[in-house]
Amino acid sequence: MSDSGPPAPARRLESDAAADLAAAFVAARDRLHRIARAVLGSDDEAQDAVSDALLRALRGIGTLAGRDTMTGWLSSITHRAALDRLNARRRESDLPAEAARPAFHDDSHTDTLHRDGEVDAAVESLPPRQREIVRLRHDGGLRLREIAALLDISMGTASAQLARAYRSLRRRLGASKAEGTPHEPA
Amino acid sequence: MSPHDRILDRLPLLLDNDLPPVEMQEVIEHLSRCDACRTELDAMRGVAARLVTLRRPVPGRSSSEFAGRTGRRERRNARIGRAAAAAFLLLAGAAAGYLAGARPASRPAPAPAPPASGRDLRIAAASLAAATVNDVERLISSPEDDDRALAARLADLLSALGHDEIAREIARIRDGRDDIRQGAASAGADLLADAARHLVDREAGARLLLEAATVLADADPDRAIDWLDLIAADFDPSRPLLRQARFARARIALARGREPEADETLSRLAADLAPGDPLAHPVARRLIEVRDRPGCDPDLRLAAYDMAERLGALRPVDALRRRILADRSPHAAAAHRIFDDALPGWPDLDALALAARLAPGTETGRIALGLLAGAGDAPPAPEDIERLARTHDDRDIRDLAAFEAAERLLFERKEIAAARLRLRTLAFDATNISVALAARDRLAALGDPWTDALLNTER
Repeated sequence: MSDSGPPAPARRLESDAAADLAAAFVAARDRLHRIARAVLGSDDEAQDAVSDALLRALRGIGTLAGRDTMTGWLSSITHRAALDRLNARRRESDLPAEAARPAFHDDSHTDTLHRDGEVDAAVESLPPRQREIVRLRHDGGLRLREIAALLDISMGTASAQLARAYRSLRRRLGASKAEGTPHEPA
Repeated sequence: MSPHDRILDRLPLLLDNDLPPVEMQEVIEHLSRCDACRTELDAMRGVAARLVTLRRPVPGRSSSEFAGRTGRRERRNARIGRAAAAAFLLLAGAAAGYLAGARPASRPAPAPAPPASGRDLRIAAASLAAATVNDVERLISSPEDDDRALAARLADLLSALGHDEIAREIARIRDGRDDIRQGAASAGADLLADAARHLVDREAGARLLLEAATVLADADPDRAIDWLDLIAADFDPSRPLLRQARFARARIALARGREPEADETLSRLAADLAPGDPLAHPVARRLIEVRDRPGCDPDLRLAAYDMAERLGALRPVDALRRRILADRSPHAAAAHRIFDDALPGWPDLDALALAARLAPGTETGRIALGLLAGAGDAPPAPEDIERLARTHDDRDIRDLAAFEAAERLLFERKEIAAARLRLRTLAFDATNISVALAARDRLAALGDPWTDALLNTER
């Protein structure tokens, strides 16, 4: 292939765009995975959703011009791909959303250093929207500004949802540990 | 909502340092004089601090933080999301290749990609080759511009890897060569099938298993068929996927020379398809192919073409062959055989001339003449016919063309006198006895007294 002469300019541009996308994708991969995981609750499915998102992004490269950031674009594509998977699963099982979403299962990470079953259970008990925001914030490391953009809600709404989530979590986790000193991982 | 609630709802934004100045002022002022809300703020900080445990690693990354902690993770990664992992690896490799110097230095440097190991690349190459069979191949030949562009992009992306092995795979994809399947069979099929069994998404699993079976079809058809049967039995796939699996079975049967089995599968499949289905074209093609044998009943062959038409998959050459097949006139039978021989390597001028000669005035003869006149399978234009009638090297062909011209004068332009003149010449002068007899038949049907008299005296 390399001996077929220099590529035509149009193709050059295409592969530049693809390489930019590849670089952005690799750089943002963990973030994208966490976004998908926040929606789907499982690593396996998150991986599939990120893979879906990648294909969509490749298809959509042409529409990229004028986007503010590649990462933001990839994030929203991933979020949508994850929601699509969630909806598909819901349709499949013909169950309401709550039942269709499995409890946060994750057999591969039980050996992770900072696991805290109490916290996980508390987060699991939140209403879906709040749970998603909490995960995007604390697993995804997203700022409220980014979460609001991703979920297409105002920053005020995102903030209010998170505030309510914090209050429920505090009630559930008990005042003793939640107040005052930040938790220090062992 | 109490003023306190309004403040509390804004506290996360305050913690994010993302409040607009006016609101920031308002919140700070409130906090300075409200102990309860200040306590809430502290409590939120405490909860937020505890939630650091929610931050969990992302699997499939070979960073030192996670690698080698337990063998379990390794095995797990080997199982799950093979296709997704391959996509990651390819992209990571593409980025790494560019970062290694193929890119202009002015590009902003993204985070370094994990280096792809040789094994990873082999898996990626195998998955890529597998994807080729069902995706890239399909994408490249898709009528949608978007799909073709995607295929080109994938190929570009992969060629950016700079690894000879993968570059060769890409070259094969672009050349549409068949041996990708062979090359990928041993390495890729088992991995894919294994991944298919472990995918959470059953439909995706079925798709992967189908890919695996397609990859394996040439190397180990029996096992490929087992896998295809497994799709229907264990995966409860969507109808389109089930059809693809059936089609794959038919292709394997064809490749092994089991034509009756392929025929049965294909006809059932074709009856089940709607026009515009992605499978319509390939299924129609194979059905025509499997019946395109000298021994096959002409009605069955015609039925295959009719099915292709129903599915919107009838190519011009198919339409032509169908017209020839449908021509049951006595002269046509021998011409059919000649067409059958000529058309795969179409157009063989000698065969066409022969076919035209054997069947003047029939559909087959007309088509042969049209092809000889260079009009393709469209009916030849009057000037083409006249040119053939005057200038063709072969006297027979000149006669045939003259006969066709006379027929047109008679049936299309209703110029009976002019037609008679030409037919009279042909009836007595044509070297081709079929043409002479056809012209005499025609004149007799027209009730031409002059010819009657001559024929009678001849007898």
